[in-house]
Amino acid sequence: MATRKKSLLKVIILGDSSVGKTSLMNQYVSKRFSNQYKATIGADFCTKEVVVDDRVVTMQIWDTAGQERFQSLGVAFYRGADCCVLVYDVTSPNSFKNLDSWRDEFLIQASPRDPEHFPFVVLGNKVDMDNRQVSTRRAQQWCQSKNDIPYFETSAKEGINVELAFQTIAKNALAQEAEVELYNEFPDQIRLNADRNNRPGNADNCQC
Amino acid sequence: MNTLRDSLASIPGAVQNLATAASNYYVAARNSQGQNDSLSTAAEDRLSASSTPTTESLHSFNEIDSASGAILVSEKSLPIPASLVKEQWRLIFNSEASVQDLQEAINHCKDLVLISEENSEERRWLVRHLVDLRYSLEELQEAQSDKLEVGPTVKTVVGHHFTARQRGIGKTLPLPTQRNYCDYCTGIIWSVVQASYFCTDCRYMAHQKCVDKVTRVCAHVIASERQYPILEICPEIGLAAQQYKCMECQTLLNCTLHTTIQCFGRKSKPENSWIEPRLCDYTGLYFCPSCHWNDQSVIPARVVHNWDFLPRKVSRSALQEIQLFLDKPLIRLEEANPKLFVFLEKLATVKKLRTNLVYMRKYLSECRQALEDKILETQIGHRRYLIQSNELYSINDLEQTENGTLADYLHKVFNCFDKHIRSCSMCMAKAYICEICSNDEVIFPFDDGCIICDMCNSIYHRVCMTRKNMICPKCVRVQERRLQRERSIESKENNENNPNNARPNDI
Repeated sequence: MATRKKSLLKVIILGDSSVGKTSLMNQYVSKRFSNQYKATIGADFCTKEVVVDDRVVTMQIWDTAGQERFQSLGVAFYRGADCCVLVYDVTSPNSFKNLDSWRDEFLIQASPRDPEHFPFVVLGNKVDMDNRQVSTRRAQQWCQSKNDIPYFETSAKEGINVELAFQTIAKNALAQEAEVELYNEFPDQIRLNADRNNRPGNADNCQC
Repeated sequence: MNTLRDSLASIPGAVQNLATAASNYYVAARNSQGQNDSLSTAAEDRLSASSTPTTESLHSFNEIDSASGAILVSEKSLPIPASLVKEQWRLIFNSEASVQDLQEAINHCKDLVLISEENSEERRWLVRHLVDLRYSLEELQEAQSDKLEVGPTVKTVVGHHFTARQRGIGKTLPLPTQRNYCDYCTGIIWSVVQASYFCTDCRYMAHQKCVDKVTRVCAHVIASERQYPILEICPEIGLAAQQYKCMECQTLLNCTLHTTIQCFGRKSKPENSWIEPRLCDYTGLYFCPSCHWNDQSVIPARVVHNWDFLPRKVSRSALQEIQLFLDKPLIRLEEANPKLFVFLEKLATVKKLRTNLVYMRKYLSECRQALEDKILETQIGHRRYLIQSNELYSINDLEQTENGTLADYLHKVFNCFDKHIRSCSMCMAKAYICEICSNDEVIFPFDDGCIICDMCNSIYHRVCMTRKNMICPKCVRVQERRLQRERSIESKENNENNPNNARPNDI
């Protein structure tokens, strides 16, 4: 298929505070869940090896701060992302309404080559809760209006749909990857990494 | 021997003079002082060290001089005539002197008086000094009859936390060897024979026999009650308002005394005394000479309002208080004196550096690598307030701003932080990208040529922002979104009021 193989997929998780971004990541990466809420400060990433279409790729999942007061720093890491995960809380209509602005801000800051077809995935989290306030239909409508974004209803607590959702995320990220390669022999995404590799002593510095 | 060296070191120019006058004098010194072996060996040591006055040795002398500058100020004697400087090491003594040392100094002084010219400056100084020495000897002999046993090691009197200082020469003295005076009775504390106490909070010093009579409340207590240094310049109320009394001990000023008052151990005669009222430039109040020793200090109010670092005379209590305030970041300089930042380039530089360091701190305190390397702790340590905000300054900071050392220090910290941030992949990931030009090159809030939106904290190239007429595109978007939301709520409300037009609710 492609001549150039990229083994690192960069995934950014965005959404309002306390919708469960960190919990989803932890559930996916280490199968753990904690009821205690601890606001994420700034941004950090975790990596996980996944097999997609018989290819082993490393997924670099960036967990970000939802609270505005912890977003004091820049988001240069949006650049070169392969997929963006938008998370909302099904018990909080506001977190759903804000998906629009999260998406717009991401597209502006990341400025992907083809914003219309950039792979997003929407996750409606906390489906295990009783007091649901955003209907599946409403969420699906929104996703359809934005170029058919895949939509999943998950529960980081119970582990419902988490694996499936991230599989799709990886698949879509890789597909985007392939498409870009078809367009251009030197994809944009490499640039930031190349930058990093140029710095001595930091090339393989995993922060995890 | 140590004693001698120290007293010698505290005389600026003395060492250099010794070095140049060198051998002639040394022979003379040996002949006259031959009986005291330790003394002449000390002289020999010093002379042989300085007989080849290399730049290095001179440099180290200068350091000693500057280090002991404070001591010189507190020495109350008149300046020694230049011609006598080379004799000074045998005439000046400190609190560790013994009776024998003093007697030798007196004898030597007497000899010098006899050989000095009549009515000369030397003779005047020598005679005064001789009187001084004899008083000191008398005092020392008196002191030797003091109780020798030391009381409790810790004592609390009017807010002071006193710690005992054992008699004798110890290596653990809290202050460098110098003449120490009792803050209560103003007499010398003869540390060889007298036990004394010093306050660990405000450095008040007192004889053991005086410690229980101390009336001055600890400056630490006053300072913590006041919270901020007095920021009015010398708020004088006048002697009349003070009822011609010393603000501290209530001694009547400018009048004949009813009780005897001691001034540096000398009992003033009641019948002809005139108590000089001394103005304290910090509090604006008048004090008697035993509560105001003409110590000089930088005045916080004068720094803040006039950028004036000239030391002024202050009372003992004020001196102790100011010293407690020196390191405390309490002054909101820009609030108190905003124009200063326009007039003084140094201050503007320091402010800019601090603003940049505040941004950098956010990166470092979120970066695991930086936390592991303890970059913040090692670089900034106890002066962390410098990078917490750019508003608060201590008196010392302002003094260091004036002499340039603060800017140098902050530059060094800036370079160290900058080096980490630009080489750390995590910190680089949290850089900004100018969304106006969408250039891939990352920017930081502390970069030159960048501008920060006060509303949303976004960062753009200054040039790009100027091109956009200084209108932040993100703020525009946020505004639009808000309007849109308001409009949709309005239309929803209209629909609800108008059931014919109502559309099925989404939820």
